[in-house]
Amino acid sequence: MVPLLITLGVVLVIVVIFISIYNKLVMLRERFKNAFAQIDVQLRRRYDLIPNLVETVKGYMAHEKETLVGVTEARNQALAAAKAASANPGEPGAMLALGSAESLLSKALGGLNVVMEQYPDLKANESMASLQEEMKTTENKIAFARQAFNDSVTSFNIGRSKFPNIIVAGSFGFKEASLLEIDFEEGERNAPKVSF
Amino acid sequence: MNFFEQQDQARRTTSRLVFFFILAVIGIMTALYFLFVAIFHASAETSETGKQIIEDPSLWDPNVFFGVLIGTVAVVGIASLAKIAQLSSGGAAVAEMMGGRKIDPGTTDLQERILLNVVEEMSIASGVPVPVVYVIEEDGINAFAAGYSQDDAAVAVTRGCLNLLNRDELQGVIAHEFSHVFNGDMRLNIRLIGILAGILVIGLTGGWLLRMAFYSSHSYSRKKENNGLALAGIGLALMAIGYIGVFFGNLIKAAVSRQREFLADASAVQYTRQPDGIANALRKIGGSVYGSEVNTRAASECSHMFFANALKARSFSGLLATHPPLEERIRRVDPGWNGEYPVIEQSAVQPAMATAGAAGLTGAESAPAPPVYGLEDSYTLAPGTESVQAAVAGLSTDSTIKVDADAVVSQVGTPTQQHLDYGRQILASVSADLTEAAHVPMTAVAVVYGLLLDTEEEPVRTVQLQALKNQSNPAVYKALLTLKADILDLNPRARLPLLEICVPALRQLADTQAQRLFENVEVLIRADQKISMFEYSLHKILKRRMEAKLSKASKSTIRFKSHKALIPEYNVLLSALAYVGHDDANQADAAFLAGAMTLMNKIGKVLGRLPKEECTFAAIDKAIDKLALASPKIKQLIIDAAAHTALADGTVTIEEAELLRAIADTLNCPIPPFLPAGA
Repeated sequence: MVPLLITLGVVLVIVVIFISIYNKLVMLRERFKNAFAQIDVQLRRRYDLIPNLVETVKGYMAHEKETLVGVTEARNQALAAAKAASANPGEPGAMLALGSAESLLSKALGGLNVVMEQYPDLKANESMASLQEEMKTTENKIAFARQAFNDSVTSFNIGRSKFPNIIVAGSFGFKEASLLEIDFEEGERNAPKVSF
Repeated sequence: MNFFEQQDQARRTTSRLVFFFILAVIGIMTALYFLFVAIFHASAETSETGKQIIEDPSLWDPNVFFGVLIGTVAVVGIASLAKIAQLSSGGAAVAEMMGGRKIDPGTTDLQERILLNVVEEMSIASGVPVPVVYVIEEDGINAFAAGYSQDDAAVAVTRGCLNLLNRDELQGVIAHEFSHVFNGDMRLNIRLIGILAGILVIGLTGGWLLRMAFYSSHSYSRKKENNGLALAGIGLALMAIGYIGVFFGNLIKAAVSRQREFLADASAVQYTRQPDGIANALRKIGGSVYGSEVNTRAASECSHMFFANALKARSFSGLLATHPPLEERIRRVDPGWNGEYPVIEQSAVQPAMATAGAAGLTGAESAPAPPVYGLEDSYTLAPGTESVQAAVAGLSTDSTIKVDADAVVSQVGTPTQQHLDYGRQILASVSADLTEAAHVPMTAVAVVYGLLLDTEEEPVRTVQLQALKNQSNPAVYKALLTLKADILDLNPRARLPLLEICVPALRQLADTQAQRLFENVEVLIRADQKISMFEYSLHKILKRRMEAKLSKASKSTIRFKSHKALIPEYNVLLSALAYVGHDDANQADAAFLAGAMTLMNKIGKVLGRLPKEECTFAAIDKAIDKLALASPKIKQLIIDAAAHTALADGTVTIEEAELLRAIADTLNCPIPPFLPAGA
């Protein structure tokens, strides 16, 4: 009878510990998923702005069709990547795809900015200025939300790889989540390279 | 019955539930005990093949008894605790379990925006933190509130609600759900689910044994067939015992739930003062082809949490129905109902919703000429510093709010139509840019910084801005600069409500970002070397809201049931309130006495006013935190006394209102905002 009781007690304690670890992991996972939703909202806002931007610019620069087509294409690719990523935030492949698609889009937009410098009329256009401001704040919001996402992914990964959490994580399929890396500066850094 | 009595009753109901639960477990154990004694006797007979006649016919077998006792307690206990732990990780967890999708605070979808506005108005009107809002993609009209405390509450509505209900009806439904939040029903609900899960496990174990027996009798040799048969017998018996337990558990759950539903309907009418909203929502459920069905798997477990019956009607639904019949609910709200349901066509309703919603989006216009509570003096203000100063001074002296102190306690947790109109006006008085900013994490941080900027002294503001420039995120700083003028221009009454609107967005900050927010908030508060009442209240409320996110749900344990240990805290609290609103020493004394008398009459102890130097913010803070652990009955007395002190001269200054809000908030007693005079 006594050994049975002891075994039962040990099992009880283990079960309770497992449950609390499982709950903690679920909470951490929910947190980074919610954080991704934040990025997603702002990314989509940006994707919605880009066609407006292209439409406004089109009237001024007839000779820069390629640049505009490039921006639109990059935007569509990024949109597709974002859709895939929001279905599965933290999944390494999706994060990598979104990160590189976003970096490409930033690069394309950076190129567009350089070209626009050559059109003083365009720079004077009021709706253009407000659109650009809107783009800039949206990018800031994305960067801010991305920091929140990466922080919560990191704390999930740390929580997941600790012992004994890793046992629970392994048996209930809590996979390691991946950070989202976007190189926003690339477009601007490349800007001076354009030949004169 | 007021808020405090409701809370008390919810607690009593909980203890009654625990009693029933223990009764059920004892019943189960007795049944199991007899089952096992019978089995052992039977197996003893068969193993000795009749040689051994039952020597000891007594039914007492201590080994079996303790085995059953420990086994049952362990199994039922673990299952119950696990379920409760899972659910008490917050309302959000429950909403997600039910297949809810979180609505982003900054959503641009019109329907979702309207829903968020309705929820925010209700929050401001009642003084409860803005809950997280979820939408469930189901065509039925239904909703629920979940969470362990007001601080981590979540409200979810179905897509059917958004598609089919107009703004008034939606408001009725949301008011119903808020009543569950006020009345402590959410915690009750979670415990009910946990208890039922525990009892259910017995039945599930039985089912599992039965299946084992079934498989083993197929795959093993015939020798074991007897064993298999015995196993099947035990399984069957366990299942029977378990499911009978669940049946009675459901009976209890349904009985409790039906009562709370009537209460919530009545409260919804009380809050909105228009029975049509909720009555029409209920009628539309009757008229819609989808009714109030919710088909997610988890819905059956949580059926009692919903606005209306979430499950398909069953034959014996009378006893087990978690909700009173629709007809009865409608008749209680609207006695003159002709018994007809409207015919709902899914497509035809949407445009009506859109127009009602469009009006709702622009704010106060949608209400049929609501009374105006002295808010528009701020509209006409020029953005210059002097005029803002004048406005602040004017509001805090001349147009202070006149309230009847005796009414405050009865108002806790019961906002009225006036409060709702007031909430709507407060929201409408905030500029569109600010409202949008408050809903996005990054700019919400900027709004909080902006609220802390000194409205009166330019040099202090310069110091504050310089500090932020060095220490905060550059993008946040930039957002702050664009929002600064709007924030400084804000009506003083809209300042704390604006903070509340920011909270859902702020809760999405990463821990590092939240930490930085608090560091900067403290820097901003200290910039002028002194703490104002607004700064204290903002810090206190913000900290509480964010703690609910960082740590788990705040456990509201009751540590103090008698007044003895709380006398010093009463003194600090009432003295501080007396000094805040009354500069003159005599007036302060009179104010202190006004509050102290109401307490002294009830508790038979003497209270004494403290000197002004002892009423530091640190002392107030400590006092409030300790008082938060008192029982609802004591809290009622505290709020009553505090109200009498603050209202001794018949008016509430902005500072008094801010301190009262911080007190009530920490005590978890949502006070509706004080309505300006002339209402």
